[in-house]
Amino acid sequence: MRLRRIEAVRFGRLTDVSLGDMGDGLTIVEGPNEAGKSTFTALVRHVLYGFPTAREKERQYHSQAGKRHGRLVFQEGGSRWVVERTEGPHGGPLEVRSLDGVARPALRDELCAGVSPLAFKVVFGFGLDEMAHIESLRGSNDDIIARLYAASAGLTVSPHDVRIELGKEAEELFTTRGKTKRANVLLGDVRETRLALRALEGEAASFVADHARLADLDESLAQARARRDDRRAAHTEVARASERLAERIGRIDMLEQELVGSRVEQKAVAEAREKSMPDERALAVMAEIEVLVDEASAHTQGRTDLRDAEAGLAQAVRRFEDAVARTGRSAEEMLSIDASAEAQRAVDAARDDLQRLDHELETRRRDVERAEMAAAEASKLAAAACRNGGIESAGEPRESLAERYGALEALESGRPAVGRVGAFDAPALVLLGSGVVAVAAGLSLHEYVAVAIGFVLTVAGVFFVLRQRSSVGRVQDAPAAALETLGLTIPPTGMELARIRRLLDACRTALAGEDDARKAVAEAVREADLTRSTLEARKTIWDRWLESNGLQPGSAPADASQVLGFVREALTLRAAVDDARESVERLRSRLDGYARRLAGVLALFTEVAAEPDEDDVPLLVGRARQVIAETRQKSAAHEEAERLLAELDGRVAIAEQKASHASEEATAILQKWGIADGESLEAIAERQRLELEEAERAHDVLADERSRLDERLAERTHEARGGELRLELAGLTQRLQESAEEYAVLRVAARLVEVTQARYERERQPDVVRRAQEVFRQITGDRYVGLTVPIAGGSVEVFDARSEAKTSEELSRGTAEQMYLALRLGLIGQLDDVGRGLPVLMDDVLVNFDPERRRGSAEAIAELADHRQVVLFTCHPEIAELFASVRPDVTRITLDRC
Amino acid sequence: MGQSVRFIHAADLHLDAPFKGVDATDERVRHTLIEATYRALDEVVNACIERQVDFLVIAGDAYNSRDKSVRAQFAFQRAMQRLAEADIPVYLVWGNHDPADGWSAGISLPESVHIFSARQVERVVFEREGVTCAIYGRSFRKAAETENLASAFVRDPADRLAIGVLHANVGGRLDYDDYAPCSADDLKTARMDYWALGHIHKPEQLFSGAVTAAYAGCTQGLDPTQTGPRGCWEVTLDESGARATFVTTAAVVWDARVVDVSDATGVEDVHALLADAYGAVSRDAGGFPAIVRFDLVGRTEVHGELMRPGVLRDITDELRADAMGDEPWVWIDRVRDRTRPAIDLAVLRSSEEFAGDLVRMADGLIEDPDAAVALVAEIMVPLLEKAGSDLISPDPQSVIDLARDLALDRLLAEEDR
Repeated sequence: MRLRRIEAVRFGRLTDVSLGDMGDGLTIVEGPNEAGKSTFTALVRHVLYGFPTAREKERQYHSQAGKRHGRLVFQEGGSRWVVERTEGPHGGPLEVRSLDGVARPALRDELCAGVSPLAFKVVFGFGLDEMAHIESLRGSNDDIIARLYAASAGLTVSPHDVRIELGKEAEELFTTRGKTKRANVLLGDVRETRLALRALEGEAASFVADHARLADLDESLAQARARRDDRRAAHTEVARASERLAERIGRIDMLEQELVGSRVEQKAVAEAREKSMPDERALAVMAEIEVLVDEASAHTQGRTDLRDAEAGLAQAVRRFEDAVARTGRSAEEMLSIDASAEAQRAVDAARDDLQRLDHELETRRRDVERAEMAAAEASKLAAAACRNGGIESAGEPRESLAERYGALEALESGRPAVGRVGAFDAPALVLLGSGVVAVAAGLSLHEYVAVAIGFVLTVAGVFFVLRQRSSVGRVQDAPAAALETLGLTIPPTGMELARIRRLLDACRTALAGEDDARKAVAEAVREADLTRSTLEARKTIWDRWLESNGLQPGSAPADASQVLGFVREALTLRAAVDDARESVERLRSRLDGYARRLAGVLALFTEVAAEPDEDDVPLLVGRARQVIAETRQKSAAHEEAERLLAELDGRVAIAEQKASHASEEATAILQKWGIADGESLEAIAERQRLELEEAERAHDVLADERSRLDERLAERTHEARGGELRLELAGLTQRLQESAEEYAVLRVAARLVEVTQARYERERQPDVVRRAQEVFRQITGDRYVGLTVPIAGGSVEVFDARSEAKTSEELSRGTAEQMYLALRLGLIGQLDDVGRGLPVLMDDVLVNFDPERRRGSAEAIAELADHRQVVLFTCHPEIAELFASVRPDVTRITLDRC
Repeated sequence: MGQSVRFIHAADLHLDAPFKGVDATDERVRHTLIEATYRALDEVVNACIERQVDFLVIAGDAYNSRDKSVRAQFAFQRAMQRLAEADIPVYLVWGNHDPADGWSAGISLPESVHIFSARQVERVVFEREGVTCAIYGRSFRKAAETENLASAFVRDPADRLAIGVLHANVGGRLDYDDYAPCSADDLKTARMDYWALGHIHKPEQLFSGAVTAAYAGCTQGLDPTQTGPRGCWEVTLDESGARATFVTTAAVVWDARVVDVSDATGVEDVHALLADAYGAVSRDAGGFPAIVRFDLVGRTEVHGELMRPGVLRDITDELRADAMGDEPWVWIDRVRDRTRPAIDLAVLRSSEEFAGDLVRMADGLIEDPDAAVALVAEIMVPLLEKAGSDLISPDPQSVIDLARDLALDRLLAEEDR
């Protein structure tokens, strides 16, 4: 693959400018300044790698004619391929095609494989400005040599980059002095967890000691508790004794004061008792006066009752008189009437009897009427029956009936038997039977003559039988009288006789019914008469009773009963009058008696009439109440004084006894503690209180310690902290091991890359350096014989014939540029397939060389052009001539100034 | 009358064990783990009482450490007291974790608990309603008991039934401390009807028949490697032999799964595969909370992405939140990336390019363990100086393996600059 043409459609100052055709090997493009040599070099790079954006610190080569647009034409064998790029996003769209328009998009990657844009700029398309970059980028991420090594080694990334990356990742896991890296953090956590576990194990180890200490504490605590209880008991005893003593002394003082007061009080009460002695007379009648006063309200009520009784009496009298008036008799008449309950019962009985008899009489009357109606009906029926039987009912039907029965019986005695089989004509029956048999036999024997004869016989038999039958039962010899009696003209048949009998029987029955009805009427009339006579007798008795009882005969029982009621009411009212009168008398007598008794009692205290007027009674009662009150007041005061005096006597006696007892107790307490006064006892109590406090403090200290220890031990029986810490440690250890393995893998991977790279460079790079060294020696005319390129980057050193080393900084600019050119030529010579189709574009890189070294350089470049396409731009004709002299077949292209 | 006893054989309760190797940052998980060994003890006691067994045998390591925590001792005392109240005696030997010379808080156990002597094999007789059973046992005197204790067990010929209780490494298992070492023949020679063994945390019957020997395993898995059911044996022993039924007692189930993410093309795929995996863990846990570790394996395009700092952690955190929302919960303890880049190492190895050099260099280190150890030790010096080798002990081979893959991932990543 060779680059034939570079076409700037729009790029910088170039518009529709084409450069070519370049040769397979070395091409010299000669042109003055501003002819566009650098622009063409840049255009090749930008078409291959994209136009730079405004943010990139690189010359933009904008075109005033429009969007940047460039085209490269490569030739492979007989085919030409166009790589064309137009300005646009992401460097601009790229089109790769043949001149015939056949697309070949992969061509660009084939051309640029392993060569980054920077590597192209530094190694493949460089000018003086980029000469030093091949050294300055060493050791950085843009180490061009390293990248090109990698590319030449079949790698897509630089081993150097990989090593750096792995190292960084490893450092993210662990650094020797790090604290925040993952493994460092885990190590710290492991340390802390182990310390915590150790502390916990220490605690566990102290468990037995704690257990023993707990037992000791239990014993000490029991002793302290006993001592505390002893101190508390002693202190309590002394305190109580002190309290008791103080209490006794106080009580004695109090009792003595109480005694003084009680005695003064005794005297005053005794005087009051004498003054309150009540009147003896009043005391003697006190009970009677109290009774009278108690009865005063009853007396007042008695007066009211008397008035009410008198009014009631007057009213009773009036009602009695009214009742007498209602009887319509005088009082004497009225009182003569027997209105007792017996009399009333007699009236009631008479009333009931009379009512019952009246009712019964009415019933009998209705019975007579019904019997008479029944008798009339029976007569009608009998008349009808007689007519049916041919009897005149107006005469003596019963005699006529008897006659007819006689005639009937006479007829019946003369008639033959009726309805018997023997009455049939036997020959006729034989004739009939023979005929039937003959017909049957003829039919069965098919003797139709016999059938005909049988039929004739049968017809004849039937005729005779029927004839005989029509004359059966007729009376043969009937008497004429009987027939006449019965009104018959011919002797009757049996059936007719039977009918005549039935009619006669019906007539007889109807006549018998008529007789019975008449008997019933007579019976009913008799019963009615009997009832009527009984009623009359009862009324007679009633009248007699009325008369004997002073009542009007003929009075109805109801009227008599009403009179008796009035009499009974009048009698009742008269009794009420008597009662009222008696009550008035009784009340008046009681009121008078009360007034006399009151006057009698009060006569002892005041002047009062022996028979006081009724109206004075309230005043007398008031006086009696006054006497009672005065007497009671004095008696109560006297009794109170007596009671107080007795109470005071008791209190004095008790107080004297208590004081004596308290004094004895106080003496006993003092004697018990062997001291003479209470002050010393208080001192003992205070001392023992202090001892108790000390004992309690000692107990509490031990109890607290035991409680804490017990709690701690109890916690250990359930605490899972040990398990948690061990699990935590297990997790940390696991994570640490994983991190460590990760770290080891990263470090070892970096080391493998590093060692491999070192070996690779050691075994491969000498060819590069050797070639660069040869080139440099060639350029410098053996002025410098050696050249080294450190593997890990850094400055390139050159050696002169005396093995004196110089870095690039120590070289002159021209020599340094010669060294850089030598490095490029050596490197490109070893790249083999890396960027195999890319030309090497040099932009006037020999200008700073002296003529001798310029020739050496030209020769070295010409040698490179033997196996890789080289295009050298120059504005110096002598350089173009130099190359022409070095390589006569060089392709020369001349550019005009734009 | 036929001689028959029924008892629970438990061992390795490891009360208050720290659960090494787990990073439980969730409070529920932490609480469950802290309480797990105690809950397992409660389950053993419950099993004894509910099944009305004749006695309980504990074959060592009731406690996790010789310096038994006070809480553990009180918890054990309470458990023994419950059994005493249920009239169930306990026969116990000390193991290497709780030897007889260990610390004790002096908390006395009920008289129904018999602790076998650490000086010689002791014989006690269980007797109830005419049934007698001789129980032989010997405790560890010290943690590192290297004597063959089993060889001193001799059955009394008069014993109708005989049980041996011992904490021992039968057959010299390499993944367990070789304490009280003995062979299966030693056990058979003693002619016990049943050997109640402790020390090995996985339950198993060593042999059965005339003589039966069984490890009860631990009552609760103690670290992420102790997966599978954990509990104790309910043993019925009569003159015809022993029959054992396993009783689960663990409060939390450990699980470990390998998830192949070879086909994953993005972290979303990894997330989905892990979600499926923890769902399976939850189903297999039998209604118990579970703690699971996942190893992602396979050559995958997402290897490089997974190796990026924080990527796997973010996936893990998200999955954890989901899994802890389930009931019973699943705690994803760790998701470890053991994937390989989608690179053909064989091709690289034959390459003369940079990556080939790197692969060959790593191969050289992997093939030379000393060099690998030296390199990792040199790399880790600053960290080891601070942490100590007891905390950090990365596997050099694994580190180099991972480092090679990481370096290749980075070196061969698509250019994105």
